[in-house]
Amino acid sequence: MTDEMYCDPDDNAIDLVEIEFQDGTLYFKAEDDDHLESDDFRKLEGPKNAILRNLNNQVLMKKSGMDIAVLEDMTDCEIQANAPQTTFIMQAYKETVPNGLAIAILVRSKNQIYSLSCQNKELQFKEGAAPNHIASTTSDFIFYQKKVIGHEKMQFESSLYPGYFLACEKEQQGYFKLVLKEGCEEADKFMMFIVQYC
Amino acid sequence: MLSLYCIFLWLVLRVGVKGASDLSGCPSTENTWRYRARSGEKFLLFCDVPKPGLCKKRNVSMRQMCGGTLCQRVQWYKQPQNGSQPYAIQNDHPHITWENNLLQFSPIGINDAGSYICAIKYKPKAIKESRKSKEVTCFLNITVEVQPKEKTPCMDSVKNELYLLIGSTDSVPCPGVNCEGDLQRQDVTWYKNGMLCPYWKNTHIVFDEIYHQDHGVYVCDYNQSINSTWWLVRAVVEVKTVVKNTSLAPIIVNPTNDPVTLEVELGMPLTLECKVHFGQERNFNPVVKWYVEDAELNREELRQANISIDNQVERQTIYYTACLKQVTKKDLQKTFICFAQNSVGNATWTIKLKQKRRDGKEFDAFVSYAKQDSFDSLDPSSLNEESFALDLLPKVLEKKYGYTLCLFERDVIPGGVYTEDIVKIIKQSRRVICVLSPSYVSSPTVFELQAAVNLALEDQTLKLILIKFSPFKEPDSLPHRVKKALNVLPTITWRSSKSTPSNSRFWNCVRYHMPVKNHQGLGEKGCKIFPRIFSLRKKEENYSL
Repeated sequence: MTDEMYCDPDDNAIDLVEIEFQDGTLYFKAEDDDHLESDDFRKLEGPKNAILRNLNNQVLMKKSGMDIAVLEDMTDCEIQANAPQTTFIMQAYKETVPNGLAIAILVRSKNQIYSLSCQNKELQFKEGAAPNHIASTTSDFIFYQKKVIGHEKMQFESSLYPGYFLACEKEQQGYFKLVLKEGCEEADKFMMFIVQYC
Repeated sequence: MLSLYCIFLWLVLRVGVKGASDLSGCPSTENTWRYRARSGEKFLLFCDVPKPGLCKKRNVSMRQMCGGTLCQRVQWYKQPQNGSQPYAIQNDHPHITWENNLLQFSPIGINDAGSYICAIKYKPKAIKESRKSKEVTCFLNITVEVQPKEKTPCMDSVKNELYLLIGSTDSVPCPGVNCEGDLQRQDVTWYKNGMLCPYWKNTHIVFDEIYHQDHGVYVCDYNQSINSTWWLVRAVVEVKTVVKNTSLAPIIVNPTNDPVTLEVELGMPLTLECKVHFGQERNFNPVVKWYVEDAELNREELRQANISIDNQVERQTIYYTACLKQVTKKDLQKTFICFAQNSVGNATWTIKLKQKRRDGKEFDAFVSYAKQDSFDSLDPSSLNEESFALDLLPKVLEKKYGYTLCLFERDVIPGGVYTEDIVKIIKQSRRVICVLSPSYVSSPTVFELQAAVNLALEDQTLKLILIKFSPFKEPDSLPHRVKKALNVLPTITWRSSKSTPSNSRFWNCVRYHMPVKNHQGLGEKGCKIFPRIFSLRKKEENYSL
C-alpha cells in the first residue's frame, strides 16, 4: 500500500468523456447513449378506448369506406351497432420535452387499423397504426389533448400545426365532419369534445 | 327624477369643448365624444374608434389587438378648466394610467371631469396612387363628465366587479343601466378588452355556459339625453372567472415511500419541502405547517420557513419549506410532520431522518492507542498518549471538525471478544488512527495495528493514519507485514507544544488523511451555502511535515 493520491473514488471523481475534434468542431462521445436523447415521441403503454362527442352530443364515427370522420346523433344502441368505428383508441406518447398530453387517435374498421393524420392541414385516417417511436418534435399523428379550464371538455391541438385544433364543421350537404381548424388557443365550442373512456 | 338630474348637472363641472382641426384621413367621423361617468368607479377612454373585434372568438390576445391601429403610439392631453394650453398626461398619476390607446382611471373622481384630447398616429389605408400614404396624426376630443356616485339612484345594484362561475349560466349586466329605466333597450355598445363586440346590444350579456376566456374588462356605452344634449354613459365591469369551491381536502404531493426516510448528515443544514395542492375556494384560508415530534409525542412547530405559491385557475400549489440550521443526533430520533388544511379537511405527511452512510461505514475513524499504566506518566506537564487519544483527538476531530470517531473505551459495548470486536469496528470505520509510541508497539494493542493492516489490504477504502506520538524502536517481534506498513504508510509526527493548537500543521495533516465529507445537497436551497471545491481544500492542506 503506497501513499497514493487522495481520491475517494465514489464521490470526488469527475467523469471525463471522450472528446474528438472533427472538421473544426469538438464532439463529446457519450459513454453509452443513455444520457443522450434526441427529441422524440415514444408510445406509452395502455392505450385507452373512448367515445368522442361534440358539445351537441353528436358522436364521432369513422365513415367506413372513407377516410373521414363524421359526427351524428346516436343512441347508445346505435353507438354499439356502429362499433368499432365509434370506438377511438387514444394512444398516449411520452415526449422528451413535455408539451402536454400527447396522443394519437386510432380506430379500427373492417379488420384494419387507421390513424388520424392532419397532414397538409387536412384530416384523414391513414391505414396502419401510428409508429411506436417518432423521431421528431412534431407529427401529423400527434395531438395535444388539453382540458378546458373548469369544464370536463377537451381540445386537441395539432403538434405539427400549432394553433390548429380538431373541430366539428357542418358541410354543405348538411352533415357534420371532423376537420382541422385554426383556433384562438382555447375558445370555440366547435373545437371542444367530450371524451368518454370505456 | 328628471328635475333631480337637472340640479345635479348644474352642480357638476362642465367645460366647453374646444374645437380641434380635423385632419382628413382620420378614421372617425365625429371627433368629439361626450361621456358620463360615475365617480368612484373604474373608467376607460379609448383613443380611436375600436375596431369591431374578434369578440366572437372569446380570447383576445395582445398580439391580435395590436394587429390594428390600437397599438400606435398615443399621447393623451388634458385641457385644464381655465382654458389654458392642454398639457400632456404623464404616467405618474396614482389613479390615471395609459397603456397603448387606453386611458384608465382607477377610479375616476370628480376632479377628473373635463376635456381630454388624444393624438394618435394613423396610417390611412393605401390608396391606389403613385405616392405612398402618409402617416397622419388624428385628434380626438373627449369630454368627460363625472357624476357623484352617491347621487346615483340605485347605487347598490351597480356592480363593477363580477365573479362568474365557470360552467354555469350567467350574465353580465351593464352597471347602472337598469337604474335609468329601459331594460329592454338594444342599443348598448359593448367592448371587451378594448375591442368592439357588435353582437352584443342588450343591457345584459348572457352566457349560457361560462368559460375561463370570458374573463376580462367589459365596457358598456349607452346614449342618454340630458337637457337636449346627448351623452354617452359609460361603465366598466371587471369580470373574473372562478371555478366552484373545491370539495377536496388538500393533497400533499411529496413522494410516498413507506416509511419515508431522508438521509442526512449531522451538523449540516437541512431543508424540508412540503408541496401541497389546494382546490380553489372563494374564502381561501390555507394552512401549511411543519412540525417536529419527539418520542414523547411532544409537537413543536418549525417556525423558520419559506412559502411560495403557484396560483392557477383550477388549483393552487403551496410549497412550504422549513429549515433546520443543523441536524443533530437528537433529530434522528424525531419525526417530522407536514400538515395542510383547508375548509374541507386536512392532510399530513411524515418523514424521519437517517444518517447518511455513503459506504455503509459508521465511523470516520477508529482510534487505536496504548492503554496506560498509572506509573507510566513520564512527564506530567506534557500530554500522555491516553489523554491525547481520549481527550484531545475527539476534542479536535469530533467537536471542531465534525468527524465521527470510535474509541474502544467509549463506544464499544463491553462483554464481547476483544479481537472480534476490534475487527468488527475497524470494518465499520473508514480510517484507523494509530497513536504510535514505545508502549504501543510493545503492548498487546499492536494487534489493532496488525488487524488494521490486514483489513486495509482487503478493503481499498480503509486507510491507516499513523501518528508518531513519541519516538520508538520497532521490535523485531513485529510481523513482517506490519514492519513494512510502518515503513511505507503516511506518518504524522506529534510535536507536543507545536502540534497542540487545532489549526496546527499537525491537525491539517491529520485532516488531509481523514475521509472527505460529503456536501451534496439535501434540497438545493440550503439554509447556508458551504462551498467546498475539492481542489481548494487540497491546496490548503499540502503541508510537509
